[in-house]
Amino acid sequence: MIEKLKIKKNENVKENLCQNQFLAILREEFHYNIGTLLFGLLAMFFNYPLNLALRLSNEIDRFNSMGVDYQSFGYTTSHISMAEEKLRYVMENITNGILRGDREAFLMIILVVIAIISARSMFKHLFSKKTTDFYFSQPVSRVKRYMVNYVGGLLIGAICLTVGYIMALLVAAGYHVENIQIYESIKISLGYFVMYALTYTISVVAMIMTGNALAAAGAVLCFFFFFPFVDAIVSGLKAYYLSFYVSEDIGLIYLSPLFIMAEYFDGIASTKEIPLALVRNAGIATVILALTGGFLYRIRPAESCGRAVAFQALKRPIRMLLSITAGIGAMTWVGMLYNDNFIWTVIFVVLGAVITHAILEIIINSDVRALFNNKIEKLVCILAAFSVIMIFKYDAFGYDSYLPDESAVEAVSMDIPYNAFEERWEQKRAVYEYEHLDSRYSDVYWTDYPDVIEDGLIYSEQAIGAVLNIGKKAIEENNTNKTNELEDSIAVRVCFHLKNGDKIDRRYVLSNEAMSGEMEILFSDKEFKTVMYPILTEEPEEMGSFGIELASVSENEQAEKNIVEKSGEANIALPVYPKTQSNQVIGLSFDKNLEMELLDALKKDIMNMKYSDYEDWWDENGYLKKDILYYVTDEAMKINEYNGEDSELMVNHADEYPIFDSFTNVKSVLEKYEIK
Amino acid sequence: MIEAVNLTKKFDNIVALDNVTANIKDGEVFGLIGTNGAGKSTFLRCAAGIYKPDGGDIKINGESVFENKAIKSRFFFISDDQYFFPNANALDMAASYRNTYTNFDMNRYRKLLKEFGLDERRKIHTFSKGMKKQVSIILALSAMTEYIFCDETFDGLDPVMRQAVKSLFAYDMESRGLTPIIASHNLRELEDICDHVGLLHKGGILLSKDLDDLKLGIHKVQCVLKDGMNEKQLFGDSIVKLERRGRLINIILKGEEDEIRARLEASEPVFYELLPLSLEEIFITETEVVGYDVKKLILGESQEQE
Repeated sequence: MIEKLKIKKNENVKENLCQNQFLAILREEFHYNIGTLLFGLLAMFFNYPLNLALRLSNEIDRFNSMGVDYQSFGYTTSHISMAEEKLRYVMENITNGILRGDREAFLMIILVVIAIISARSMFKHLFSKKTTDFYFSQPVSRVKRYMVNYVGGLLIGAICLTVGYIMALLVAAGYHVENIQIYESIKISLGYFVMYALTYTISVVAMIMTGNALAAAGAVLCFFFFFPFVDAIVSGLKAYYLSFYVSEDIGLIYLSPLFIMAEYFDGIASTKEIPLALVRNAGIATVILALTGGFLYRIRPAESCGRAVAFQALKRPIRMLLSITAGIGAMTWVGMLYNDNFIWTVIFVVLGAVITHAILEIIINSDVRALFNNKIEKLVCILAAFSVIMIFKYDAFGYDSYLPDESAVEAVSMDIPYNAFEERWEQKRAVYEYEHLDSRYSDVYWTDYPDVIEDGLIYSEQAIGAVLNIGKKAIEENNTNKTNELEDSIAVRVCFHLKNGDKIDRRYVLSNEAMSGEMEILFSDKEFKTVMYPILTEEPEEMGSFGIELASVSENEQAEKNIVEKSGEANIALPVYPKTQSNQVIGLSFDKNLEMELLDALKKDIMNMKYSDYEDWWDENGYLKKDILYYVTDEAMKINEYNGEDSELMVNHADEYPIFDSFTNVKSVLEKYEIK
Repeated sequence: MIEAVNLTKKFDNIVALDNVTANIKDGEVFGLIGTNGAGKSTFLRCAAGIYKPDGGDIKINGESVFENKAIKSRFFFISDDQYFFPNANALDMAASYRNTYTNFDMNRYRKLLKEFGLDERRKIHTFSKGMKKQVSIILALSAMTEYIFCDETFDGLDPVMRQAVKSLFAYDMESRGLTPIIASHNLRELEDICDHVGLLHKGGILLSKDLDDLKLGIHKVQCVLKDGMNEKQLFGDSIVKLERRGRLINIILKGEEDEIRARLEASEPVFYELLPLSLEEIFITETEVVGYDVKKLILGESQEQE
């Protein structure tokens, strides 16, 4: 037997079979990770073709059942053809909606899951000594090995999305759906792929930085949720400790791929347009992370397989960072909610930091007894967490005490908390867009309505000076009275728009008496009034309708209040209603002259109105004490339900004003038209 | 030639290799022997470019191994626990290696599988441990590389297969200049095949010598000396180990055979016999010198029990 084994040298046959090594290895990786691909395809099968077929089938079944009813009620052929057209329209909507991923939360979940599983599949060889020996002993550079595996995972996502999409198209073709927005939905799907790539790449980095499945799962969770958690903590600390804090978007949540993906989905669903900036930034982040992953892969010690943390130098920073964050988080989200006593602050910080540190020690060392390791490090984490909290508690950065110099302020904007007016801007520019013909699929899209803080800029020096004074008084009050709540206090939102482009946003809390002087100055400022009361810029031809919501009437007060609504020549006397929260509303748009005079009167009264004229118009029991004059301007596009128009657009300005005692002009007009 | 110069590798606080310097000449069978935890596998993995040295370097023909694709294509590493793809058969593994080893000889591979009685289409995970080892060796030989690094490869092979593998190694060494580097505890097997041995202990290299020179330089003497004769007077510092059983003395000592024989005859002992040492005995002797002594372990334990 031994003799037979001897092979002469000249019998060896050399074959050069590695024409393209990259593709050959990639094919091999795909072959041995086919399970991941099949899982992804199965998930996409449920999301795309099966989902689409089910919903289209439901619509057809509904139509067929209604068709029988149509005939039984003697409806004409034209009614039936309208219904058929409606069915076609609805099916188009459903198909395009699914291809676009409109409100398809399941798609987002699938993409995230496939991304994580693909990363695990492609890089699990880093977790085992056997596979590490196998891969790293071969004459393939680590960079190439990384590229092969990385691209393999990307391809899995691309194939799943593409095949799912094509299957959906085939289903739509089978149901004879027309007007499919293929180009549009493909563009959107490319955005989904970018989001998938980002999530996948972060998961890959997590795999490379760890050495076992448990640690990898923890790393993925950290990458997904750490920055949003920090964002929430910082916001919580600011809101709790800073007296004049205004909630702001710190932006840390955009360091999480989950939130970026959710933002993309939401953007598509709400605006019907691709948020290109988001996709671009996600793409750039993906490339940077991919390069980082390649670098880490190259330097990753092979002996890290099986360990929790692959790079030993990162152990301590990871432990400390997470422990400090957990300590602060425990205090912020548990201590603040249940007991903000300082002793409990200490307790929660210590518990959060120590427990987290202990858990990490156990994971890193794979030994429960390791929970007592590094005691000094635990102490440092506790002290660091405390330091951060103290920075916010004592406002080390001077957030509350800062007031810009008057010379640096270009404009101010304010939001004053008077009930009648707080909704005015919110309803000023609401745009409704319905998918008509089938109200079950109607969508309401809101444009970014104007924000009084963003858009209501007041440039007058008088107003700027008054607002700065309000700030100054609030700071002085805060320094002497370290509470957020004052008796008879009013919270005023203020924004200083500086000449250098910065914005200083604050919420000042002052007693009404303390700021009454400044408010009087503001109320005498024409620019202020124009910004705060949109009706001052409404044109008569824009007016839609006026109405009055009557104040509740006490049984002991006025016995009767006759309201007369004129409709042509008929006078209709309406009954008196007793005190009730559900007040009577009377439309006044029966007379255009009345509307125009009311508008003119209201403008005059508002311009003449002083701050001291303001009265409470709700009593302590929530009953209306003043009549409220409301108006709506609207502009509706023509709607023809069955002529193929598919949207109804309404630009809506709505506002309401209590008729204060000082509104003499309005009262005169109402009296003139015998409305009292 | 493979050169290790001050090769150092640490795992956290454990020094697995401590300034190891060794040369492995081409065309020789190099046996890497050592105590448990001596660093044999670590050395091989550094040589295979799996581990990056923390100090020093290991080079093949003057070039560093780590992340050097060209150098890596010149050797094949057989791990002590070789990895095979899930549900792969022997042909699948060959297809994989063909992607990375351009000289892979498929014909030879299939022929060797057949001669070893291994079904090329049977799933490898259904093979026994010994059969898996055979597949690994066949893959290595078929890759037609200049060097093969074998980590505990002969363990798990039956005696017939061991002889077959040794024969194949010998043939490839002669026909194409193969240089096998074999790490093993099975010193009796290595003794038959190795030309050169390196003995590792606690991360350091105790010796690195040609096997023949090693054996020539150390001998075992069984003798009964005349009254009044002292072995220390006779042999001095060349005594490595001494064991008495009554008047019978077993001495392991270093030196040339002729010189030892001359000294013995000059002392006119009652009886003497010069015996060759096996590699295993040399291993035990050398490691006892540095304190790796099984008797101490056993005696130490029994003293504790008392």
